[in-house]
Amino acid sequence: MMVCFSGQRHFLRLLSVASLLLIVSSTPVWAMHISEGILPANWAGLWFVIAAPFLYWGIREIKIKSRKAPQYKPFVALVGAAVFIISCMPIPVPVAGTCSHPVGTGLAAILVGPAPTVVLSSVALTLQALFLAHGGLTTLGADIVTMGVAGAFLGYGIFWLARRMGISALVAAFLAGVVSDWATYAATSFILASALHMDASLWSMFGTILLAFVPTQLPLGVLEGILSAGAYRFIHFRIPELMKTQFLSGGSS
Amino acid sequence: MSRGFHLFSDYFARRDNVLQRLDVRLKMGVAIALFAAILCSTRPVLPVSAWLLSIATMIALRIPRKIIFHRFLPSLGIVIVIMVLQALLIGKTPVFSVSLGDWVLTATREGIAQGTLTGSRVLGAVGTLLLLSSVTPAHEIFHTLHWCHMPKVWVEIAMLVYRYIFVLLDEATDMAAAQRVRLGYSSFRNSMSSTSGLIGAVIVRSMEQSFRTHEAMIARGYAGEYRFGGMDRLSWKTCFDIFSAGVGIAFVFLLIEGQLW
Repeated sequence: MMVCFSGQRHFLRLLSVASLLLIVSSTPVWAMHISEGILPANWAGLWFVIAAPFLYWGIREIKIKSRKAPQYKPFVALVGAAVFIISCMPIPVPVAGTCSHPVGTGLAAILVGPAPTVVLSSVALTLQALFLAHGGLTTLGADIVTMGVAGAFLGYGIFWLARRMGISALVAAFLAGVVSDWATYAATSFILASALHMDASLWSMFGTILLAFVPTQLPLGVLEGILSAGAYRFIHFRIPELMKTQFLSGGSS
Repeated sequence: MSRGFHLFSDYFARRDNVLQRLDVRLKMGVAIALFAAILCSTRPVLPVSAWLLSIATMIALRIPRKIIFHRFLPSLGIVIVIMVLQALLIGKTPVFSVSLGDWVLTATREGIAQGTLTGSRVLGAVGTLLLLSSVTPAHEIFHTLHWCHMPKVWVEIAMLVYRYIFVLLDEATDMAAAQRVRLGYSSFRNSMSSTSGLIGAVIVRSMEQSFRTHEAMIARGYAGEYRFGGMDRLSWKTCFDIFSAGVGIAFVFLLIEGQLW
C-alpha cells in the first residue's frame, strides 16, 4: 500500500513537472533539435561516435549510386534542400494550440533511402545550427542520431514492412511519417534525459521530458503522417515514371 | 516560413569588418576552443562571459538588435525548460515550493545550481556559434571543412543544398501565397490538403531542378566531382594566432575553474 502510494506520488510529480514544462515552454517548434551547449563534452562526443558509422554508410551509398548515375548527387542535394524547406513549414497543432513543423526525414527516407537521408540530415542540421541557431555543432552527433538515424531508419523500416505486408503505398507513407516523427522525439527525450538526469532517475527524467512532448507530438506525428501520404500521392500522380527509377527507394519497393 | 529565412541569410557575414577579414581557420579554431571550455565549465562565469561578449561584439558589428534577439529566442526557450526541469527533478535540499492545486513542486538548491550551469552553457555556446556565423560566409566555412578533410561528397552536397534552399524557398513562398488567395488555408481540412500539395510540389520542383542543374554543371565542365579552389597555406602568423588564442582561452578557463592556484 505504501509502495503504491509512493509510486502514485512519484507519477504525480512527473506529471506536474511535465505540465509545467508544457506551460513554460510554448515553443515546441524549437524542441526538435538538441540545442548547442546542452550536452556535456563526454555525451556530445559519444553521440558523434554513434552517428559516424551511419554517416559513413550514407556517404558510401551516395558515392556508389553517383558512379552508376552521375545525376544522383545533385538529385539527392536538391531533395535535401526541399526537405529542409518542408521542415520549416509551420503546421497548426489543434490540441496544443501552437504551431510546430514536420521532421521531414520519414518522407526523405522513402524518396532517397534511409542511409542517404542521414547525410541529408547532417547537412540540414549543420546549416540550421550555423545560420539559424537551431541545434548546434557540439550536439550535431546527437541530433543526427535522433533525426537522421532514428527518424529515417524507423520511418523507412515501417514503410518497407507495410509494403511487404501488401498495405497500400499511401497508408505505408502515412505510417512512415507518424513513426519517424514519434521516433525522433522519443530519441531526443532519451538523449536529453541521459545527459541531464544527474542524481535523479534516468527513467523519471525520460518520462517527464516525453510527457512534456506528448500533447504536441502525438497529434503532430499523425499530421506528419497525413502530410507524408498527401505528398507521396502528389509526387506519384505528377511524375509516376520517376517513382519507378533507381533513384527513389519508394518506387522500387 | 519567410521570417526564419530572413534570419538564415548570411548577409551580415559579407559585411566588411575586422573579424570578417580574419582567416576562417583562426575563427573556427577559436570557436572550437571556446566550445570545449564552455562545455567543460563547472561554473557559469565563463559561459555567461562568452555569451555577453558575443552579444556585445554583434552589437559593435552593427547587427540589428532585433535580429540578435530573434536568433537567441529559441535558445532562451530551451534554457528556461532546462532550468525548470533540473531545478524540480534533481537534488534533495529544498529551497522553495509552489503549490498547484494538489501538486506541490519543490525546487532544490542542487537542481537550481545545475540548471543555471546548463542554461549558461547553452547561451555561451549559442553566442559563440552565432558570432562565428555572423562574420563567416557559408562558402568559406564549406571550403574550410574541405581543407579539414571532411568527405568531399558531404561538402559538395552541403554547398548544393545551401545554394538551392533559397531558389526553392522562393517557389514555395509563391505557391503558398497562391494557395492562400484561393482560400486554401480557410479551414483545417483545407490547410492540410494545401500543405501536403505544397510539400509534394516542392519535392517535384526539386527533382526537376536537379536534372536542369546537372545539365548546367556538365556544360560547365563538371565530371562527377566539384573542383574546390585550394586554400592558402596556413601561415606562421595564423598558426601563432591560433596557438595564442587556444592558450589564452585555456588560461582563462583554468583561472575561473580555480585550477591555477
